[in-house]
Amino acid sequence: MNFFWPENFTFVGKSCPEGRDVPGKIVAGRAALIADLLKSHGVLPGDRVAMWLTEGENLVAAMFGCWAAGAAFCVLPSFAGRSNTERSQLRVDDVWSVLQPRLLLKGNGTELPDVLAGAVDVLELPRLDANVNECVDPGALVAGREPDDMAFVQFTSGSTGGAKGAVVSFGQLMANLDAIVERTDLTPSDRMVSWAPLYHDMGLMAVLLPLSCGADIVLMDTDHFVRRPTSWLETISRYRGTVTTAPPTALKLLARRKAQNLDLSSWRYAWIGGEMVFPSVLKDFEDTYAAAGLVKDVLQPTYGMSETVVGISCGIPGETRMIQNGFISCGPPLSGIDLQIVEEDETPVIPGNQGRIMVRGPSVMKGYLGLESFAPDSWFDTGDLGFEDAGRLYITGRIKDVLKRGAESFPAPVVEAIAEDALNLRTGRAAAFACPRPDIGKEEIVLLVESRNWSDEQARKVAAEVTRELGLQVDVIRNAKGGRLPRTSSGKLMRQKAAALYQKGMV
Amino acid sequence: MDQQSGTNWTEERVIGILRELAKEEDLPKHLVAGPITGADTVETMGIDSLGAVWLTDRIEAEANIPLPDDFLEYDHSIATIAQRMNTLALDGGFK
Repeated sequence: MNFFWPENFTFVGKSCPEGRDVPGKIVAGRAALIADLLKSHGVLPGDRVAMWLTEGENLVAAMFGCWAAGAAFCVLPSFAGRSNTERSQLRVDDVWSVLQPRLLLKGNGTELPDVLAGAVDVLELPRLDANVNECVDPGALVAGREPDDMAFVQFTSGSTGGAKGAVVSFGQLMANLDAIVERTDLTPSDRMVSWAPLYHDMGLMAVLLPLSCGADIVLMDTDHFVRRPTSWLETISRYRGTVTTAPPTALKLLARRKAQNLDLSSWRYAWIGGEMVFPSVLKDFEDTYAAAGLVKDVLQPTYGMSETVVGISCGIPGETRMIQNGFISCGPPLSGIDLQIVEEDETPVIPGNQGRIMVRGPSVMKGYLGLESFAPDSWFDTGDLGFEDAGRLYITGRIKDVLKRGAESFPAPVVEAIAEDALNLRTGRAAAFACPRPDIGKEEIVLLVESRNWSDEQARKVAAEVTRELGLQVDVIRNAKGGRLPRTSSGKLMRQKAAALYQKGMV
Repeated sequence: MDQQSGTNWTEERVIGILRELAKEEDLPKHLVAGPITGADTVETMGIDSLGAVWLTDRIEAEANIPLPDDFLEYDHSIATIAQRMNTLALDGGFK
């Protein structure tokens, strides 16, 4: 296992919108310092360290610092700091009980959200401008780590809303990085520009991919992008970025709000994923920036999840994107990934038919933290629907009860519980689901409720509560037609059926 | 500076932009025709960070002046947005 440190990392943020170069040996030196700090605070090999850090520079150093100390890290999911409600506290407590971290790392002077305080010992990192010795051998930071050692834990939005920690070992990590490097022809002459948050698998990989092959990194603060989306394209233009990653939402936004005075001719590949990709979004973006030198088919849909480190499939550089029945190809499966499309009873579908996507391979995790490991060579059920045609994978929908917006995942049952509490409804009287809308290039998030006294005021109340607790915008909130949601004979909500009926205008 | 991009930012003008974006399905549908008042905040209207980006972007485009990165926060009300826009328009935008 080896990582190649760049001469300089470039960090872009509100305090340095033009970018700031930090020598790789200094970032590595900071990682070595953090490793020493962790050890002096009792962190032992095999321990897990939670992170609540906002600065990219600290995060990169802290990741490698944890590894150098023999520990695994977990960048806490965004919901951890969203709100101070009782429900948020329960979700964070759930994370703590699964993760059982030795320490929580936080940035210097950073205020911890109330829900994170108190349960775990906190270690504050030194100031970023503190003197640090250069680390002349960054490779030593991961020396001795074995393929079966735990590298990191990524929390996913389980279908019940409970915390599920996907465990990624060094072996799985390197297998996925190597497969993506091979598929996308990444070389040391590439330069990654990324604003994706590091608690997200796409963001984490945007840092580790270039380090795995010696490419350069320009790391933007996510907040900088959120507050000024054009900064992403300006950074690619300024730094001659060649590769990047983004959810379709970012493309949609920037196709409408055109950034000016750009030269995007250096850009050769983009992993587009994290949410459903619609062909029109890619085309609109490419048309908008063609005059800025953006080459056609640079944008390639990608499919994957935390449970497979990040990637299952992605497009081939320069290949014309294929579209079948309105769905866009996410490319062939990555090297080493076995794919099977199955019926509900898990028998393989007739080739070309839609079914549940199952995967296995060297980068598929062996189990969730604290739960029983999967059987060797067993298939992992992705919870997504799709089909395969001419060796390309197409994603058509989702069975798992997860809502996606801007590449962030939200458990549908939690959204429903918030609505039920807001309206004093019994459990099972709300159904949240996503509805693909190719016409507007996104998945619409819908919340149907059963309420006897429905009014605009109730819709507003629910919308406000969901946003306050989860930071999620629900596109449509309304009463179920006829006041009834579909249920099983035992009274259990049939969420997927409600979604299907909604799409037909029947509920 | 034309009349629309000047300092005549009112709550009604901001509400009009909100309704337009809701019609375009970038903001929640209940904002198309439901009641909105000057006291409503970004959060109470059910707008998330992504929705706030759409809103900021549209206001910036309409006003044709640069807005600061911290222009919109969850607790900003429509009245606050209108006031801030009038101040920024007087100053020629964020510098």
